[in-house]
Amino acid sequence: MNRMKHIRNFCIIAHIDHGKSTLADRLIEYTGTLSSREMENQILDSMDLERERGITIKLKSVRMQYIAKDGQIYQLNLIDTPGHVDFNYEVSRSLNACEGAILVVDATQGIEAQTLANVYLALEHNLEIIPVINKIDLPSAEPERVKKEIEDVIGIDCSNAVLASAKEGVGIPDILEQIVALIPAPQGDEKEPLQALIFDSHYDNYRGVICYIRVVQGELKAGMKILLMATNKVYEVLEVGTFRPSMQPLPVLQAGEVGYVTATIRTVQDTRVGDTITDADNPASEPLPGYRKATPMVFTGIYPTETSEYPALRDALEKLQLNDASLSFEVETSIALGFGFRCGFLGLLHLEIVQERLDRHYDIDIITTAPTVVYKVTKTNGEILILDNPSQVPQPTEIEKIEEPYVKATILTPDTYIGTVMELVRERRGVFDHMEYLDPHRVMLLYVLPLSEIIYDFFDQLKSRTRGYASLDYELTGYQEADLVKMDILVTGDPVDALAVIVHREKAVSRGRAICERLRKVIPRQQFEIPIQAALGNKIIARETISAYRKDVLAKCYGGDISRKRKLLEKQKEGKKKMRLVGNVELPQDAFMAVLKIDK
Amino acid sequence: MAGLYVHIPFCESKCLYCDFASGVSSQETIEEYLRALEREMAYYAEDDRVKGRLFETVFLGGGTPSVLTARQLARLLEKIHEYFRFQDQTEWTMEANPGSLTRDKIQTVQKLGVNRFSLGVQSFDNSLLKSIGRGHTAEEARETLKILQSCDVKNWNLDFIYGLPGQTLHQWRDTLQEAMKWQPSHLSLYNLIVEEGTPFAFLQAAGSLVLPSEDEQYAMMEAADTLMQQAGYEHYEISNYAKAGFQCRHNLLYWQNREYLGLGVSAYSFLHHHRFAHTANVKEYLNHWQEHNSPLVCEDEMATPDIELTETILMGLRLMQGFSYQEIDRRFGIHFRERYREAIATGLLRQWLEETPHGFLRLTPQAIPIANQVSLLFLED
Repeated sequence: MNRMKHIRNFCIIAHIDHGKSTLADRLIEYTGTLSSREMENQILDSMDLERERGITIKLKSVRMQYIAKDGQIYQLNLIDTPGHVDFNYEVSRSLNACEGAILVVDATQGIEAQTLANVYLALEHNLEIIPVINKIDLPSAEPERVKKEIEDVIGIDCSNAVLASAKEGVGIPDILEQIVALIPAPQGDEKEPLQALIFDSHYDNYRGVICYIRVVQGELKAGMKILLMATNKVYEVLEVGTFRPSMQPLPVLQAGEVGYVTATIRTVQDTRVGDTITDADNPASEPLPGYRKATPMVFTGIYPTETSEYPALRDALEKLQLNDASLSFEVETSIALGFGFRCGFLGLLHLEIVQERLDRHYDIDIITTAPTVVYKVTKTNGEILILDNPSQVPQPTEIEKIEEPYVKATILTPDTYIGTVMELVRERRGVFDHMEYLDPHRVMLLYVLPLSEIIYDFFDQLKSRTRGYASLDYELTGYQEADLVKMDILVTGDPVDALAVIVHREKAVSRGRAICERLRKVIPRQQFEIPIQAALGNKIIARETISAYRKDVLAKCYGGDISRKRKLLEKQKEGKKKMRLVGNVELPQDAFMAVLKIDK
Repeated sequence: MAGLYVHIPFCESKCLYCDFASGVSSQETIEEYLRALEREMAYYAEDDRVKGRLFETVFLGGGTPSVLTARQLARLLEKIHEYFRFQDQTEWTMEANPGSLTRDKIQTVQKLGVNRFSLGVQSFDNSLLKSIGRGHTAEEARETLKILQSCDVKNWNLDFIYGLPGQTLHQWRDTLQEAMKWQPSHLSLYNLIVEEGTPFAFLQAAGSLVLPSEDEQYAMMEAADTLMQQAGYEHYEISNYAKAGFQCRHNLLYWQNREYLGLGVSAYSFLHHHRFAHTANVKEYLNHWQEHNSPLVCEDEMATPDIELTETILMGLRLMQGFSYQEIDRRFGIHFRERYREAIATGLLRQWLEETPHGFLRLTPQAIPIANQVSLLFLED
């Protein structure tokens, strides 16, 4: 038990750009885990996309050794958490692996919705919160105001909050001392049967799946037979160790410690986040509480642009799934697009990540249909359908009711934008719940609104209408009935299944018009006139026409132009190949996302 | 059979739509360029691909060859005669702009073989000429035309552009009607292309280039075609019209994808299945000739039989008479109708293509404005 007195497991909670990664870097540097020369800047965010967007998607952990002012050596385990609403469940699992959290708030900005959501989550897990006011070196820093805001809103004492500048290295020793002094040591007993929490995993080409774990009870070493309690699979442990931040093998991981385990596990599907690892020969009687399978909330159809790329797309999705247990996909066929996959994602960011991977890492041209949520359709004969594809909606006469998922959304905004935000949320069928002033100028608005309204560019609109000041967080609350209808989009008179959408009846006309207009802009003129229509059942509610092109000819072509013009035509042909022939109309990839990207 | 092209990259001013290697230069640069050209002629005259060849066309293009002085033109033509050999009926074309083409120059070059002139009039509307950066007025064009006629030039072309910013159908008709009063033997009518890197491209990107709509441009194309046919000109290439017997033989070589040698900066050659080009930068071109004894070839692409076939089809479709199945089969050792069965069938079905009793494949009149779409049928995957 004495051993555990010197372990501290913690994470950092911060809004994007408030300085989480920089602070992590400084802690690693200060404790000598890596010298500044060895440090690749911001090592915790290692994926390209994360760096570009400043978001941490995959969490990782790092072990540091710290000699405190009391002369004792402490083992500090920093567990990184994702910072986006799409990955809420993953956040909750990594919080479960900690006893404390550093709350980083930007001294020039104050608390944001995302921070608030994660702090509440941390408090639910009984984590000790250490407030840190960051960026105090900036001229516009208002540490006192921000401290008061934290005290008022979250209700934690800020009298001893560290004033820091991670960028300048200010306050780092104080933070380390507070970690040692305030965060409780882990509890647990290495003699008990093994219980280790998987809080993340990733796939490595050479070692198979590497599980990131927190040992809660018992101990784990190489050669042991382990049982994964949710998936009920048994493996032999190859190696245990810790991240410093590269992988470093250890003889044993004991209760209270954080580290990794490898066994010959071939897919992350088998190492679900939140699952419990136990000793197969001496299993724990119960798994650790709180496991649930991550459920996709947003679905799209993903199709290869060229039908011949279907097998390559399948391979790529399978490979992505090795590293992403929350990605789901199954074969789907569309009359318009042929063979493809219906894919499920945690949210829109997750979808974008997968799209970009397919494009960048696998070099596959894909067509993505507009994202949709999962609808519950009750038919008049009592049958209940769970639909993730609008084209599957039955005839109106067979439908008793349609239900859709709702979320509770928390929006934090400067009070000058209250009207703007309220208007936006009203447009999106939001129902006001309540409003609270966080300080004289910042307001928290709570709304209940359909998830489907959030996935249509809500976040972008919120940001642009509040000049980037408002922040958003949401959680799923359940299903509610709504007056929803399936809207078909007809191209030269024929409905295109991949363009169908489910909309609220009152918004059908305006959205139908917007979609038709958008399609008119993205579909190139062809040799005949193309009518684009939106229809509810047999009733046409919007129409646009793409007139036939008149002219497509190179005026000049002489000796110096011949090969250039051939290449130009070849490029034109390539572009044509990327289009999908639906009926006799060539539709570009953009057309299938038109439903989403509607000009305001 | 082969053509000879000589590029003169000098102009009195640069037009806003032009993407040719051309510009305004000092007399010293012009002199140095002509000296480099002579060295280049000497080089190619000894090249195995050129040696002993009989050329059947010569084309002095640019730029504006007429900006050279009579003395410079004379020397250039003498050197061409010195280094290369020509058929008896060789077509010698010289491009010129109103203003710089004088009676003296015409008579000088005529004595040295030039028997065809191509004059860049572009428009008879002064406001349009000004807005596209032409360095001459309509009056100057008329003056030059009078001189051409008085010099007994029989074979001559006028260039015009339509689809210019602010141009109306009415203005275009007026220009064409005046053009026909002069009774040129040949007319090139180009729909404006906004080429990358030109001032027009910048203006367009900035949103300040307002071109006639696609429908208006189409109407201009149609109007031109009607007027030309009425006046007895044969439409023989997408943008070219000629009186019987006055088609441009040099350009026909390009459209039949035959061989040609290009001299000078930015000039392309197509010889022995290689398409190659000299640097397009005058300074680089001159520097290179100061230090080397061979031209600076910046691009050299081997045309595989497939590429050459494709290019022959693409170019052949530009000709109103199309191309002959038999000739293509003989030239490439293929069975064209077999190999392109699907493309031909689609083209015939859509009434984009027609076969003539003499075994030619050609565009139908309604397919001319969308010739690119037809060409795409013949690009293989």
